[in-house]
Amino acid sequence: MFHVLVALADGDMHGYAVIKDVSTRTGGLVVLGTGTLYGIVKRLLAEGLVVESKRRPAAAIDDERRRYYRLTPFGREVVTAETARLEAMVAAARSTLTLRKESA
Amino acid sequence: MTSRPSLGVRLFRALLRLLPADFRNEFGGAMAADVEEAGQHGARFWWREISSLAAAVLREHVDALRQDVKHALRMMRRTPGFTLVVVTAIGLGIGMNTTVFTLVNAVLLRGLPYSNPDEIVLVETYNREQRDDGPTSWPDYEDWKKDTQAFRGLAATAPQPFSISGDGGTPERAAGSRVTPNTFGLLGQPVLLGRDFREEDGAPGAAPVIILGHSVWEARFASDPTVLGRVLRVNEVPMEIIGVMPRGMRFPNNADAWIPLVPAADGLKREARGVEVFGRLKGNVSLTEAQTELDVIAARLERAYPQTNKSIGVVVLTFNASRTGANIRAGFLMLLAAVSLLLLIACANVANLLIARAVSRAREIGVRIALGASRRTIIRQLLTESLLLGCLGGIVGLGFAYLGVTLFDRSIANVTKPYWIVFSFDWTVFGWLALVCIGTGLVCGLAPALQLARTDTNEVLKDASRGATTGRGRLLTSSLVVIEIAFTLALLAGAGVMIRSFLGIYNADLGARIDNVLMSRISLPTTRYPDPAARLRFAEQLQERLLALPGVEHASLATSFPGEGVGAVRIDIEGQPRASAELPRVVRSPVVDTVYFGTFGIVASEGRLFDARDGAPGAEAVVVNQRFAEAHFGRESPIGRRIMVRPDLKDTAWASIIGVIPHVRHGDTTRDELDAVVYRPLRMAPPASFGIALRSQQPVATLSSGVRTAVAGLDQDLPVFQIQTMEENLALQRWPFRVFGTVFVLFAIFGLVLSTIGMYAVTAYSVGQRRTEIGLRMALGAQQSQISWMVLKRGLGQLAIGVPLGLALAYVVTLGMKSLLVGIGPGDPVTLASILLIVAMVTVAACLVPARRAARLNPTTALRN
Repeated sequence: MFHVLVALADGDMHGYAVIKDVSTRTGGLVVLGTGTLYGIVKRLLAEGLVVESKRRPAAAIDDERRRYYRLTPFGREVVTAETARLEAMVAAARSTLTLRKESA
Repeated sequence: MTSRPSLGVRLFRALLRLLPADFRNEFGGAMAADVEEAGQHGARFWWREISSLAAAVLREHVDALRQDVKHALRMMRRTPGFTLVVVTAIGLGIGMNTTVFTLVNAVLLRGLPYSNPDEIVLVETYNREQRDDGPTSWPDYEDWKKDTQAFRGLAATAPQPFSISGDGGTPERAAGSRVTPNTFGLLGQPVLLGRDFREEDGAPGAAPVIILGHSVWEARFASDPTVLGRVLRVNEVPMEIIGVMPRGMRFPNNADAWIPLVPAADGLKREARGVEVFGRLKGNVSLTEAQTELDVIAARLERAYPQTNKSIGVVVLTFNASRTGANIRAGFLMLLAAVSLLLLIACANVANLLIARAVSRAREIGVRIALGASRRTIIRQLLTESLLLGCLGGIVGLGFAYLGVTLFDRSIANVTKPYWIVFSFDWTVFGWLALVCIGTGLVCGLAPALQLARTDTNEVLKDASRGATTGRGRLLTSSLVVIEIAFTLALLAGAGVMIRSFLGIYNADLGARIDNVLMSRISLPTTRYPDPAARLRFAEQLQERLLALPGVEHASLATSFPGEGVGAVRIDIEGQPRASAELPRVVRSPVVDTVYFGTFGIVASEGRLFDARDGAPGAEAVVVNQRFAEAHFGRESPIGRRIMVRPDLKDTAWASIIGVIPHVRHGDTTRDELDAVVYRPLRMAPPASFGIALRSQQPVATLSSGVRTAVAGLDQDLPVFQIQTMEENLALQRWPFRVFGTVFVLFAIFGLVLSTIGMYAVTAYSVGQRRTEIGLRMALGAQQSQISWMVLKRGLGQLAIGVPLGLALAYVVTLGMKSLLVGIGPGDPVTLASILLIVAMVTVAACLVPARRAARLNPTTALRN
């Protein structure tokens, strides 16, 4: 869910683009299946974190079945807050581990 | 755009169909597009996609279901009255169904309470000549045991009444069983205390030991755990107590104590058939295979021992099949059929209610369809609602079922039933309950759901008030009412013939006065009363003492009294030799004293009854009943003719028939047919076990202590048992008729009430729907009677179709009950006609009320609204 929000923070994109983006960003560690992706999308839509985007690329390179999504301002707030929370957690974890290494 | 999509893509597209409609409509296209865009990929890609899709299918369906349930619960809360009515109706239907299934499960399905009960079967001797199955001789049992491969083991048991005494307590009678030492091991029945029998306990000359049943241990020893090792006198023999069985264990025939089966010398003869054999089949052997194998063994024994084993075969059968008669089985199955009909009537009612409510929901559904909900989504939503109603009904039904089973259990508390038949809930019952709930939900919900999903969006949104009462909707409602009428007729007809047949049996004239009579039984041990003379002396002394009791008018001793069963014996008739092919002549033959007939108000229709001289050597005499006289002597008088009872015994003399009495019912109180009976005088064959009947003007129950004192005065160690009034005894014999009769009446009444309510509701509802039309007609000059007729016409139309259907169904139902009916045929015209009348009257009444209300409608108000 977090990965999808991060991907959409870069700009509007459709499903397959999100999958590719997440995969690249995590160095191939997280590769979403479409079933998983749209389950996440459904929840993000329901919670108002993303909306469907009406802006579509030129018809020549588009597929009418595609769905494009955009992060809402609220979604952007949530992803920022979540990043901060994860950062704090990582920082706390790191300081504990460092301490233990020093005392050892 | 693309040429031919790859196999993977096509498979993926196909699998998308498994997603719930809403999710697929929303994202299915995008998913397909994404996968196509990804292009050609390896197995890993497809594995990831397919598994992710599978997870999504599961997740989204659960999610959709949760949404549906939430919505359904909200709808129910919005209409609590409606929900209450529907849940109660379904609950009652399911409750009765589950009650009866619990009984059926206990009586017909469950079997013995041991692991793999299906493997435990009875192996009985089958006499092809007499077409009768029964016990087996010890040598036959040993030969079967030696030669069979189908069984893990065979064991033998023999019932034996125990007189327990010698430990300071009052002498007591207990149902005992002699069993081979392997019995409990084969069953898989551990002892509660002490030890099981060992092989050496069953060897000739072994020290006598006994294992007590829980009830004896509890009643006689106050559950004392130190009882092991103590010595008890059982039938005059001191026996060491080696074990106690857990509560409820009463194998095989409700035994209360067990001793090892040690065949006595005369029990080793091949013609002495006295043991009941059972066995545990090997895991992979079927009943039929075991039967086939034993058939071969029995055929060989028949060739080897033609004198004793001519026409002797073997039959393998389950305990349930042997212990619950065909009548009881058929009775329970009929009950199950009846409650299932009842449940269907309840379902039709609920379906009609749901359809009626559908009108008020047509708008909601219309809006949802207009907003893009697919019809499948709507149907699923509505079915979820009705399934939920079904499940709630099931929970309520479980409560009713608990009540019903408890009541049934209590109503037959005094009836001796096989010990393993316990009316309790188990997983089979819960499984059935679940099936019934789901079935009920579907049956109730399907018609209304399909009807609603067809809602025409435009129509509904344009004018909500007119709603969904399309012609098709009315047809559906009418057909449901027709079905209700038909089912009710069938149910009532089944109940009707059943009850008429029960009443016939219940009120059948016994042919004897049985009021104010107290019965009891005693049994003389052969150790102390070895010969007929000793038994006769005891009987005469006892009779004197009984007559001396205050208030006693008559005291009669006999092997069996009117209404009681009598064993069958063989007879020969002088001057009527039996053709060799003919079956042996068998009659019922109680041994009675001289006051027997007087005690029960029986008078001779021809000849005379016994006096003190009859039965002495040289004065052998018998009294026969009318049926016997007709069967063997036709129109001729039987007086003075001679017959020989039990010609198989030596010392049997010819006895003259001195009198004929009208029919007195004995073992046939539950049958239509009468038995031929020959009464023998006490003096001719003094019995070792007999009953005592006391007639008195004072309340007979007060005599029981007197009987005990009289017997104890002659013999301290002789227990008196089965003390009850004759009326109680008779009621006990006829319990299935009383219980089944009551239950059937209840079901029939409930069915009638349900379908009447259904009819009324549907008619009243349609009147409500047609208010405007009725108002208009009245405004245009229609008479009140015309309006009434218009409403009534529809009800009568439904009746006209429902009745012939119902009659046909009723005929089939009663035909299926043929074996249960006594003195009444299937399709009995009197029953059918009266039921038809009841249903017609009730139906018309149910329509008449709304019809009259319609006629009294004020046209102005009706039109204004």
